[in-house]
Amino acid sequence: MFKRWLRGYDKEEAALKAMHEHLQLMCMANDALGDLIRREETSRAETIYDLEREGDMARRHALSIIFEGAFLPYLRPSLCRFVELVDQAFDTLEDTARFFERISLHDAIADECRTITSLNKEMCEILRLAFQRAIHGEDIREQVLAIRILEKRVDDLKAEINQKIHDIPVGDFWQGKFYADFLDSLTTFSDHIEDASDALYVLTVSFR
Amino acid sequence: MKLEEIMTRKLESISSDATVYEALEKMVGKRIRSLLVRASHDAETDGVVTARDVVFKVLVKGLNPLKVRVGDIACRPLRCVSKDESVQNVAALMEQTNVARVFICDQEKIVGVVALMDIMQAALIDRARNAHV
Repeated sequence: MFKRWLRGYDKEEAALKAMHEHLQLMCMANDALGDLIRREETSRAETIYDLEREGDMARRHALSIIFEGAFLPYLRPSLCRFVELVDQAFDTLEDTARFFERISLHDAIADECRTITSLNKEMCEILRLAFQRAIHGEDIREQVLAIRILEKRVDDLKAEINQKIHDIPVGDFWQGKFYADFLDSLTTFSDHIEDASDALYVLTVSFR
Repeated sequence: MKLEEIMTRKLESISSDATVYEALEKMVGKRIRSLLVRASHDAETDGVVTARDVVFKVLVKGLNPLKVRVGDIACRPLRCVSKDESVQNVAALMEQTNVARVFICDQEKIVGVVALMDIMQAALIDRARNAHV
């Protein structure tokens, strides 16, 4: 199926390679975020920032190849949208690490936050697999459904956190803001991944 | 995949002395289909009450849910497994015993519950994750 996206030029392959690299870097950053939040390995934060910079390069590379004329014109907006959604997720992941460095995770919500980190990691891996399958012309509906299920779980955990958060003492405005921003970015990541998987699915469906 | 990854840790419970109507209120309010029934007397053991029990044992029989004790319609004994148990074994247990939810126990203490829906979702995620390219 995906062969139909290609016009027989190297440009398309290069763009797909850059897109895959972008996704892979995001998964690596997600692993690092897991270590940062679950084991409180603060050194992993720097790894995340470096990976995000590398990811930016991969994104720019993919987009520039598409703008240079890779793929059929009607596919380009959807491909660019997919790349941008992945990048939004990547940025959110970086924000989560930055905010986490400025707070100390309260015991009341620590379990939920760690579980969300694991779910985010799983979603990221499944999105990468979906992308690989899509470029091989395979059906990705199972991956899209799995991502939807995992996103729902993150939403449920978010609701639990919102119930408990009133009991967390906050020293001053900035501490409270960083805490709120951390929780917001931690729980928003899954939304971006779900949007990206939907965008990918739309791309594959258009060939049926 | 381990049960720990898919179980629901937040357990909603009700005393066995509460009325079925109170259980109904709790289930509707929290949009859940079952409640853990905590024994309020030494002679009783913990059980579980589901929407199915409420409908078939009380409502369709024309009984007044305000007058029936939850403890009287709860299903016992609870099916408990260790959190290290595999999802496949739990699914087999559910099939053998014809129950839709199994409680996860850690040294006599109930720490979570796994329902058929959780197993279905886990299986779907597993399929998606292990798809061969």
